[in-house]
Amino acid sequence: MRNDYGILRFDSPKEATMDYSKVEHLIGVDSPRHPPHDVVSDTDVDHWCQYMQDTNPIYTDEEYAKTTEHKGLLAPSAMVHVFCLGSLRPCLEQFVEGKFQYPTDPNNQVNVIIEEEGYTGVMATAQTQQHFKSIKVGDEVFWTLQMAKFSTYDHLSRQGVGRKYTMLYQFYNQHDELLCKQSFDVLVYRPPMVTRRLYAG
Amino acid sequence: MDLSKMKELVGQESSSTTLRHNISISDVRHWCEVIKEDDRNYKEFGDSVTTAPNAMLMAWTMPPLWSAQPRPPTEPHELVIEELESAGYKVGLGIALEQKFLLPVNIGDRLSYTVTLAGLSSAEVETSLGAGYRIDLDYTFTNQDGNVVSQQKYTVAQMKSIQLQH
Amino acid sequence: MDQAAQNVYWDDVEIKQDLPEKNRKIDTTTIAMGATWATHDFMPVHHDRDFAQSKGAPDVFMNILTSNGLISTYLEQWAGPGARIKEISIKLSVPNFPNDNMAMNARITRKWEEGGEHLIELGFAGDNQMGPHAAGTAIMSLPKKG
Repeated sequence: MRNDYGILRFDSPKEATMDYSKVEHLIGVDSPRHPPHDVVSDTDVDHWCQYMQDTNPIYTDEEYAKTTEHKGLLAPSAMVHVFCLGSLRPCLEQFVEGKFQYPTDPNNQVNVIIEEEGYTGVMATAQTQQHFKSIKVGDEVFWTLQMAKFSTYDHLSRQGVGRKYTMLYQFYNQHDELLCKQSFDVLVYRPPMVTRRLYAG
Repeated sequence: MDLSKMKELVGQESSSTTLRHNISISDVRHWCEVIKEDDRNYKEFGDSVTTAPNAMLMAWTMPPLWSAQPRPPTEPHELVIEELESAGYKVGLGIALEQKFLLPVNIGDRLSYTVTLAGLSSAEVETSLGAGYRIDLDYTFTNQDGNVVSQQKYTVAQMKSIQLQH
Repeated sequence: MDQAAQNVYWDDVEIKQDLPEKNRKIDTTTIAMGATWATHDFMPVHHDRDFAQSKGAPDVFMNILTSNGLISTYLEQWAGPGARIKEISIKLSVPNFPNDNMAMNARITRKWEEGGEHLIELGFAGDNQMGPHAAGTAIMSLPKKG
């Protein structure tokens, strides 16, 4: 049904679209609360600040930070998600081999299904954060996650035919205080055949 | 490039640089996660790890990615490398490293180090990857008590380009 | 260093005030280091060109945590150490690819007091050579004089 350039003809049969009922039961269900992978450390905050070119002394100048109401170094609030991300090898296993560190989390079950359905392209499209409390160096950031919304039909995006979903994160410190609520929008898409042929070799 | 002026710097020791941070469990964990494929989180990791891998010492001498007040080269070895770079020898290739570990590096230690410009070749020397100037550097690491933790001899070939031989 | 002198005070800012533009060069290092070193995001599309291309992208591209970090830092660096970001909402469109430049701009859109805090809302944009990379709004608390 394809011409020499791998382009689908207009009269080609439609690629079967994903049935929403496959994921419906997983939407809106919270994951268990997970422990952080890294403690909030002065060195990780320093890495971030060097990269971002952030000179705010509340993040890197301990002597200054002690004189403030916080009595010590803070981490930039935008870093809240960083300490929860896992280490290199499990992350590569997740993205390359589809093996999840928390395979029973509802959002990860959804991810397995959409990969099987051919939505192999992934792109974050939006992020919102509401910060309720400052993160201190030495804090431990615990988190829960749920897949809150998932499109029931295909969208036509610049990247290809795809679905959109929204994940909601809640971050807590070791005293069970809510640090941040975060939403994270993702587009998953089936890369068009032309792109797949160009780059997949 | 004034080679005789550069030669006068041979034998001189740099001033002492104190690392930006105490040896931290998260730096060590990040190194182990890449080099040793150690996937433990900081808690499990920190419960069993009390010293840093010796091979990390050189990592801590690396300049920051970015600094609001970049420090111009002032130390003997920095001046020589800067001089060679401006003469077109822009690629520094580590060709030998000899390390002696005298004391363990404990988590929480505050380390300092000095670099002595121990040698500079009088002319280009041939390596298997092309010709360049040979620079010998002696590193000495001390901890917060002033005890020497490690001594290292590091040899760099400063070259115009790297030529792979087929 | 007189830290207080670097703060922008709530009293001094006005609605419709523009923040000075800041530019950030985007190359492969910016993208790979932002993902792995600054934000611990090891998804290979952000550091491995071959992998990114196998997934249908033309090159490695910036992860959203880095975009969010760059924009947050832009706002906080303007405001000084006494300011806090309370809320931020960021939408991405054109990805940041290597050999690009991101120009960051922002404008104050609201100014009010609430629960003892002195707040402003800003609209911001991060544009690269292909068009808008990131756009959104943020709410910050600023210190008040006296």
